[in-house]
Amino acid sequence: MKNIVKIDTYSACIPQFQEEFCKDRMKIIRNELGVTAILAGGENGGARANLLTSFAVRMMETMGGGGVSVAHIANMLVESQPSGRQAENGNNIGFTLILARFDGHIYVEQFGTPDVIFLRRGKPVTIKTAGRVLQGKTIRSTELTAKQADTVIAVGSGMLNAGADRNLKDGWSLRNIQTYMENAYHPGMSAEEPVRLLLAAGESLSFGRPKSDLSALAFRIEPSASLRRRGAPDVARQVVL
Amino acid sequence: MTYKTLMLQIYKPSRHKRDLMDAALLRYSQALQFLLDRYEKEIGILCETEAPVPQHRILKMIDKETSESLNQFGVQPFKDSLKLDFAATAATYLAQKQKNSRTGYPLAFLDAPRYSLAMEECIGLFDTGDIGTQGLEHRCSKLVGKAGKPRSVYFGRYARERDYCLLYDEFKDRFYAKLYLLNRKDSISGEYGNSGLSLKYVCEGSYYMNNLPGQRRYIVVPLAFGKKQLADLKQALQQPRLLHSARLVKKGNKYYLMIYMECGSGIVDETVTTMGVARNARGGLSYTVCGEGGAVLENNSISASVNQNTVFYLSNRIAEIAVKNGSQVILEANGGANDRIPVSAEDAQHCFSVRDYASLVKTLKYKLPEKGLPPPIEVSANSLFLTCPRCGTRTRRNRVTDELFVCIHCGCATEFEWVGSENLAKKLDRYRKDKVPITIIKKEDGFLCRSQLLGFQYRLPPGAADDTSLFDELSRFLEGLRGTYIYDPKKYAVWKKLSQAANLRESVHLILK
Repeated sequence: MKNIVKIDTYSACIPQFQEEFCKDRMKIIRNELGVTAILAGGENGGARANLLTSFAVRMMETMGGGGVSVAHIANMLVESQPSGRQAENGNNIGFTLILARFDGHIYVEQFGTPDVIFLRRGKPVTIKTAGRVLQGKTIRSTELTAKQADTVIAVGSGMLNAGADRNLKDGWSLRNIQTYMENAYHPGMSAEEPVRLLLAAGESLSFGRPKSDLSALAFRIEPSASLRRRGAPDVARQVVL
Repeated sequence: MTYKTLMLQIYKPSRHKRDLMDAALLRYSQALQFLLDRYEKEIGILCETEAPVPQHRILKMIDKETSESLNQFGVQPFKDSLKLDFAATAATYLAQKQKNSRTGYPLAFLDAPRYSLAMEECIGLFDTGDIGTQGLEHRCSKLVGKAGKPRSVYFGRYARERDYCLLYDEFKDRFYAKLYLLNRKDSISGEYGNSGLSLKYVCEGSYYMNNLPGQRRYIVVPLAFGKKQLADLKQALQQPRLLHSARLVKKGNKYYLMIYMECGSGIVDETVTTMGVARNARGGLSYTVCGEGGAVLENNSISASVNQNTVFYLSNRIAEIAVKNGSQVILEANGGANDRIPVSAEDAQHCFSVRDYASLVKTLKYKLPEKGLPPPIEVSANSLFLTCPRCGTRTRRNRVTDELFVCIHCGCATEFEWVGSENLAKKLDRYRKDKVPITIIKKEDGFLCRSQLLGFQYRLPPGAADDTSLFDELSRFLEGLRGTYIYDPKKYAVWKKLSQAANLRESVHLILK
């Protein structure tokens, strides 16, 4: 496959105050198709989130080469979760699954996590999301094509609670996070920068004592033609948690 | 030394005393205008100098002949004070002229001929089209307001037998003022009217006033004031040296004596924290108390209810909190103009105004020393609310919404309410840590090290192993400036910072260019 984009990915998490480890789980996998990342919320148990992400990675490894879509993987993740009364008791694990292919296509599948933020050259872009219901659970899907300096940012549910103890009308809402990312954007921005800034902001809003895990994941995608013009090396990074 | 102004109303003066006071105000104003006219040319020449002109230099301009000419106005009782007032007015004019070339020459008294001339000039400008209708209206209303309005009489010292002093009736617990307004020619014959009073001087030793028959050149007037002023006057009874100069002022039909009084015990407590006080977009003020190293100890806001005198109430509250925390208070300079406080449309009418903040600053300058704290420090408020309290990054992009601040450099996030006050509270700490930059430029014959602000320059020889000789030379340079008058306040601040630094090397930042 012809690589027409360069993909830079980064993820990080700050654990809840007085906890040693994050319950939210994130994994990034790189293969010949592209880069896939999954962020799973750990509100209902870090061990379960860990299981879910490991399951997802396995599926991506075994099925990714066969061209199985992320939608299919998302369906399987949802089907593996409790249903009925257990689901009503909030025992599901929310996740965001992102696949960025080297041919420039980006696929996002989400269940129970905040919408992803998509910036093109630093400006937020409204993305069309399709929903489908599976076993009473709604999965949101998005499909995009990378153009110029696209950034995709996903955050865990805990991030939106960061401003709860502050005297803010709107709180630390997704809209505010989007505005902040737009403000912080600069042309040379890596995938690491927005993640670090979001975590620092979330921790700051929580007075240094976050009440839940703060996690963020970012993709920075650039078309290779522009890279060749700039003479930049083709380097991809991944952080596996 | 910190001073405050005590405003005491002269209580129901008789017709005769009103006439005497009016006559004194008129004579004083005419005499002051005479001096300003006489030395307009000389003052104009001084305008061209760049250095500040001290008052004593202006005072020395008044020759013997001019001093004797002042007698035509009958201002002998306050001639010395008049000269001091003239010197102060001229010095202020020169200082303002140096900053703003459009500053107009001071006018102490607009008499009828001058008024007619000024009006004709205004109409002339309007006729030629140099000013429009609005400009004409503005200038004419200013002239009408100033016409015949007397200047206040300045009493340069507090003394029993000249200028002015206070008297106290301990039986009735009342205060009076003794004002020397008359020269020998106009002196009043007979003893002081109300012989039923036994008045004591408010001075060291507390002498009783001798009510002897004969000519007198003063009047004694009763004073009216509030509880706060009474407390201050009672303090002056114990410590008369707190009373300094004064002014006799007429506002409408009422007369006031404005006394400049020293405030505070003179003993300043050591401060252990800093307290930044900034404007609040929703009304009132926000304050932050920081401890050593900039750690935030307290964040809160203060507001006044509708019925309270906002500025005085707020300044009292700030003083209380500062005393409780042992704080050095830090305020926004220039009333907080340009601080870029984010105000939403609905909060616009509630936001604490620049004017009120400036009044607050003036009030705190004497309220804090009264409590034994140092006076407040005013610091630049430029873009105060767009500056990150943690890393100092200053940009509009730090503003996410009208209420949310998030730094795009370090991620520091907080409500906008606290950004201003926190920045103020941390200013001193940041200033102490800031290093003075010295630029090093590579030349053919070595390195040129210089600081343009300090006026320091030194060439490091090509074979120099380290920068020891640079710092030795810098030390000598700083020592050489000691004892000299440094006109530039920025240069002075940098000199002071470096000369007081424990380690000169650590206070300097070498920048290689």
